[in-house]
Formats: sequence, C-alpha cells, structure tokens
Amino acid sequence: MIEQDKSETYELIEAVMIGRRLAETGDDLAISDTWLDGDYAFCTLTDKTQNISVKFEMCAVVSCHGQNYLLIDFTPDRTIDDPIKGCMVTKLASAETLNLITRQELKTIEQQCQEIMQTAKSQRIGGIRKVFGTLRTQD
Amino acid sequence: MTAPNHQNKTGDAKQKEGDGVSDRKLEQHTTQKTADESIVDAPMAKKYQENFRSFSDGTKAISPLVLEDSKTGQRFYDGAQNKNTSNSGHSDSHDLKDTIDKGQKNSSDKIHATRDATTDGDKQDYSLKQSFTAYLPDYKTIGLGPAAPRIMSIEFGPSDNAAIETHFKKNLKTRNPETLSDFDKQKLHNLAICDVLIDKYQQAMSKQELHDTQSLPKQVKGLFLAGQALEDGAALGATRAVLHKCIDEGALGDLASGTAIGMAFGQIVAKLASNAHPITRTAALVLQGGGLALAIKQFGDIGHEGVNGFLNSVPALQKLIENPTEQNFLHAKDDVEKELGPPLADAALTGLGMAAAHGIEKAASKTKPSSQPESEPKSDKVQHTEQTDRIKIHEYPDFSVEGDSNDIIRTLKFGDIQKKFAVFKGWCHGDFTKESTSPIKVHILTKSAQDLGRVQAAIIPEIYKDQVLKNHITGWKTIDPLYGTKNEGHPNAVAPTGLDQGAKGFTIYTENAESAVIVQKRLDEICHHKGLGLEAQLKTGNCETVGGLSKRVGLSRDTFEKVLDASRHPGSSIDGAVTNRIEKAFGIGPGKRLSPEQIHILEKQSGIEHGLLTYSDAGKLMLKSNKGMDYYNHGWYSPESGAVKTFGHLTERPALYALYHKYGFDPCDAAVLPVKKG
Repeated sequence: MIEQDKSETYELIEAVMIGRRLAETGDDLAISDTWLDGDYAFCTLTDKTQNISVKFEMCAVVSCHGQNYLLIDFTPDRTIDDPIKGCMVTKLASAETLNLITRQELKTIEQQCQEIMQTAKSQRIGGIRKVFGTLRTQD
Repeated sequence: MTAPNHQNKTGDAKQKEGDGVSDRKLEQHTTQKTADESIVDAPMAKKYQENFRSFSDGTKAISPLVLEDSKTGQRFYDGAQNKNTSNSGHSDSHDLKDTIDKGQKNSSDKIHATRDATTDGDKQDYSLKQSFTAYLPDYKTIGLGPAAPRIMSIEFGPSDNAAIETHFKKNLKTRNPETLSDFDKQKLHNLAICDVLIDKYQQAMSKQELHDTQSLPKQVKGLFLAGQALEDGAALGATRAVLHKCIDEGALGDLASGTAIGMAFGQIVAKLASNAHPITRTAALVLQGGGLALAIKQFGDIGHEGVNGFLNSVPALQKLIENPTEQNFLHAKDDVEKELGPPLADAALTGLGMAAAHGIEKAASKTKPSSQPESEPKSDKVQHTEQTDRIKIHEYPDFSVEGDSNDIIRTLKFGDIQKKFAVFKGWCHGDFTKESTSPIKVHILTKSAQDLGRVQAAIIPEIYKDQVLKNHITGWKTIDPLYGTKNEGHPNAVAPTGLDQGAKGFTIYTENAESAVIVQKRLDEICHHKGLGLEAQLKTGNCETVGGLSKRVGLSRDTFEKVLDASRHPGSSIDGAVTNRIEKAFGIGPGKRLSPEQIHILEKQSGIEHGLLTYSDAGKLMLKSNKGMDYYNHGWYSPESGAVKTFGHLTERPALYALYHKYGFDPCDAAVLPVKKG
C-alpha cells in the first residue's frame, strides 16, 4: 500500500455504528474473530442486542492508564475515500470483549491515540499482535 | 368459454346474431381451426418456424395471431389465441352459428341486446381486477446517448374500467350491431383498452412536458410546447391508428419487416396484461403478433399526407405558441394526432417499440401471469426484480433531525422509528451490516442544503421500509443531516455543495454489482415518485453514471483489477473489452501490444497524464496509480478525491473514466465488469 500522510490528525469518536444501531457508552461488543489480510488487521465484532456480526478494521491498540484500548474503523470499502481519517476508540475489557467508553475517557487518551495513528502500519499491527497473539492470515 | 353453452341464450345469443358470412368465416378460422392445427414443412413454416400452422381446409397461420385463407388470400385475426383452444369441441362459435342460422330477432332488439350485453347484461367480466404500473420510456428520449431513457410510470387498473367502458361504448356506436359477434365485441374491448393505455401514456408525457416548462418564459414555453405537441400528437396518433388497424381489421402487413418492434411493444403489454384479464391479454397478443409492423407499410404514404396534416395542424400550434396553457397544449396535441397521426405511423412505432424494449424488464417484474404458464425459468435476477413489484411510498412529513453541530450524534425520527447516527470522518454513517465487495457504488446526488433535507426525508425512511432496499443495501452514509434542517453541520462534515464530495448526498453500498444496479433503479423510482427528479443532471465533477427518471441516482465504479507494471508499480487493469477495442482502433492484432508512441497518442486522445498508461507485467493495458490503494482481495481501488481532473493531466479514476468513455464504454457496464471469481 502507498503510505498516507503521517502528519494527519485523526478524528476520534467513542461510538460505534454496528449493524443497524449506534453502540454508545456502556455497550459491550464481543470480538469473535481476528485475522490479517494483506496490510490490514481485521476483527469481527458481534452485537448481541441485535444478533449481528460485522467486520471492522483494527487500526491500533493503545495502552494507557493500565488499560488497553482498541482503535477500529469501518472496512476499507467504506473508508477509502473519506476526506478525513479517523478511528472509533473502544476499551478492551478482554481479548474477547470491547466496552464503549465515555467521551471524557476518550479525552484522557486522545493524545496517545493520535500518536499511535501517526506510526507505521506495521508497527501498529505489531501492537495488535501483542494483545491478540499471532493473527491468522486470511486464505 | 369452451364448454357447451346452449343454456346461455339470453345475452350471448342475442349479441351473436348477424348476417353471418364474415362472422362465420371468422369463427371457422379461429377456434375450430386452431384445434385442428398441425405443423407442416413449407417455406412459410420455415420462415415463421413454430409460429406457422396450417389447417385441413387450406387455411394457414402466418403468425401466431393471423390466419390466411390459402384460396382467397384473405387474412383473419386468430381470436382463438385468447380463448381456450383445447379440443373440447364446442365453443362460442358453435353457439354463434346456431344463432345465426335461426335468425329470429329484429334489428332494434339486436341493438338493445347488444348494448345490454356489453354492459350489465354481459356474462363476461371485462373489468380490470387489479392495478399495475406500466413503465414506458418516453420514446423521445430513446437513443439520445448512453443515458437511460426517461421512464414514465403509468398506473393501469380498476380505476380505468369506466374509461375503458366509455371508449367501448363509443366504438360500439360506430358499428352495425346486426353484425356484431362475440368476437367483434372482444375486439371493441381491445380497442378501448388500447385507447385508454395510449391516452394515459399521452397524459403522462404531457404532464412531464408541462413540468419541464415551469421555469421557461412564456414565449419560449409556447414554442417548446408546440414542438412537443407536434411530436407527441403525431407519434401517439399514429400508434393509435395502427393499433386500431391491427386489432380491428386484423391487417398485420409484412411481418418480416417490423415484427421485432411489434414484438417489443407487444411483449411489454403482454406482461402487463397477463395478470389483468383475458381481453387485455388479447390486445397484447395482437400487438405481439406484429401489429406495429403494419406501420412499415405506411411508410410510402407519409409524403404529401404528412405535409397536408402539418398544415392543418398549424392553427392549433399557433394558438398554443401565443397562449401556452395546458388546455391549448392538449388541444394542439389532439389536433396533430388527428391530422398527422396515421401517416407518420412508422416513426411512432419505432419509438414505441424501442421504448418498449427498454421497458420490458421492468414490465416483466410487474406481473406474474395468473393464467399463462411461465415461459421463463425463474432466475435469481428475475426474483430480484419481482421484488420491485409495487412502489409503496412511505411518506413521513414528520421526519426530523436532532443534534448539535458541534456534537457527532444525530437523532432522526420518522413515523414510529427513531434512530441515532454518528457524524464521523466527514459523513453521517448509517447502517453497516456487511462488507461491500462490489466494484460499484450507488450515489444519490444533491445540490444544496435545502435539497439534501428533502432527499434525506424521502430516502432514509425508505431504507428502513422498502423491501428491495432492505434486501440489497449493506451500508450507507450521507451528508450530515443537520445541513438539511439547520443549514449547518459538523465542522468536519462534507457540506452539500453539489460539487465533488459535496454532491454525494448518499453513498450506498451493496454486496455486489448486481445489487448496486437494483438499488440504483429502485432509488431512482423512489426519487421520481416523490418528486425529487432534477431538471438537468448535475455537473458534479465526479465520475459517475447518472441515468433514469430522476437524474439524481448514479453508479460509480471505484475498483478495478489490480496489476503491476514491469517495475512493480501498482495500478488498475483496463478491462479486456476496452483494451480490445482500443487495440483494434490502432490496428493491433491479437497477441501484440501498442507501441510506446501509440500509447502516448492514446493518452493524449483521452486526456490522461503522460506516462500513466502502460502494459502490466502480465501484458494487460493498465493505468499506473500514485494514490490508489490495494483493496486487499477486491482489486485496486482507484480514488477520485485527490485525483487530477484536468483534461490532459487526468489521473486515477477520472483518467480511467475518460479512457473508457473515449472508447464507448461505461466502467459500470456489465459488459466490462470482470466476472468475480468463485
């Protein structure tokens, strides 16, 4: 892939549009699968409230205040031409569960998120591997 | 209708009385002969293949609908086609023959009985039982370029029964009731149905044309309407004249010269009619049999008759130019129809035939034949289109948007639905149920904040209600809806400017290209039905193909096959069909490549930045990319934003679109889209 401009500021939000609803503060999403496909790391998030599983790109993991946060984005088919880059910031309760955080909590880790998103993709995927272990490669 | 019917001697018997000669002959050439048919090996049979039939008395069928007496050469409409032609023996013709032989009633009784039989006293029910929508393209927009023709939807159903009956009675008055058979009565009904259908087609065009003139100054409006009146009046009048001739006189002319056109129109009407009732179907079958082909015969008559017809129409046109009112418009059309219609039949037929051909797919989706066997296997595609059966528009005047421009959350309310969305990375993101692997996306264009508000209020509720959209859309995003209500949006949001990204009111994702096409058509229908059609296509500066009724819904291709050049630089492969045409244009034979000089010429012709076109390491013509993205397993994403859009320096998607268009292709065309593996 052709690398993007590294000085870009990322838009960070605490909500996740999944399936037919907007998951917000206090909601949990299950991580049901993780893998690598080319330059991308992906996960499948499952929203039990609507019994739906959707594929997201895993952008990075940020460790802050003793917590791991997973930064995700829609799949490239939806994001590739976006005028602004950004991530949805979630908290990793475990390797299988995500918590949706408050806006205040997001503000406390915003700087770290911006910094990690300026790093090379390979480095970010390395950080993801630290949390999720070896990611299988998509056939 | 085929069972012995001696007990029904009241209405039916009376109406079948007459002098009998033509009727008897007609009937002999219909039901009885059809039951006795056999295929023979003859030149005519070879020419018309399965449509050819002959009968033991020397009558032969020259089309599915026309019989010809081999001795006299006289041709007859084969009414048996719309009856049950099984070998059940008795039919109406026997009753008719018996009644004629008896010949007992006087004329006044017959008139009275006939009229009763056509209305309350009739045992047959000719009324339309259910509604359907005919999608007939405006014949004037056919063949004007790559864009799809303007489609007009014409509702046809029980509400038209009164008009059909009125036409029927009017036709009845022109006939001698003494010679009116059951078959004749059917023909009159067919005429009435055709008349109403054409009237409604005419009305739909008038409505659209009047709408088109809203912003024109009065003088220009008059001239514009006069031109429309002349064209429509002549075309529709001609069509009406030919249909009457086909149905009423059974004169089908030279089937070889215009059957395709007739078939096209006939097919659409047949599809429409098949779910209505047998009489409508008869009309359709007549058309299908080659009715419109008759126009070809009239070609030589156009000359002086056309001139005279035009001169006779001038006063009405002049009046319309001076005073362009709706009434004068309709009056002018009427005058032109009477004066110019029949001599100009062929032009009208060509137009309608072509229009019908474009509309067949949609028409086929409208109805499911209730009394005819399915002739086509039900593919997935057909099932998809059948879901587009009816346009059920959900109106939500209470559509509202809540949110603060500095916040990301938007709460939309419509009907009993309340949904939250987030404005993120410039867009308000809607549902996201599945990854899209389609190389093409659907865009709904918008030109301003106010326009965006109207489109969102119309479309967002449909995404949650319309079954076709629900079945095929896997995700969507739109411009921040606050723009539509407060004329301001999130600071990071794309603004609805009508240009570039700001023209993309909605971007809609589907799982595959076929679904994208289905969604595009459906959204176009919805936009049109909700009055969201644009007067002219927006010049957005984007690469997209906008067609259909509303001029608002388009398709855009962003993904192409990924290839690498000799130095491993990535880019988009030019689809095979396009490459073949390019190489052919340069006189390049199979297995050979364009020279560097020829590639440079190609770049100059297409306005592409020098040095971007080359051959891949696998020998495919390609466009090198500097901004694109390896779209993992889906190909090479060729971006639009950030691409150079200046002719001579085009890059990325605009370059690909320019090249494809230069050689007569649309990147979204199924003819060029690569077949998906697996």
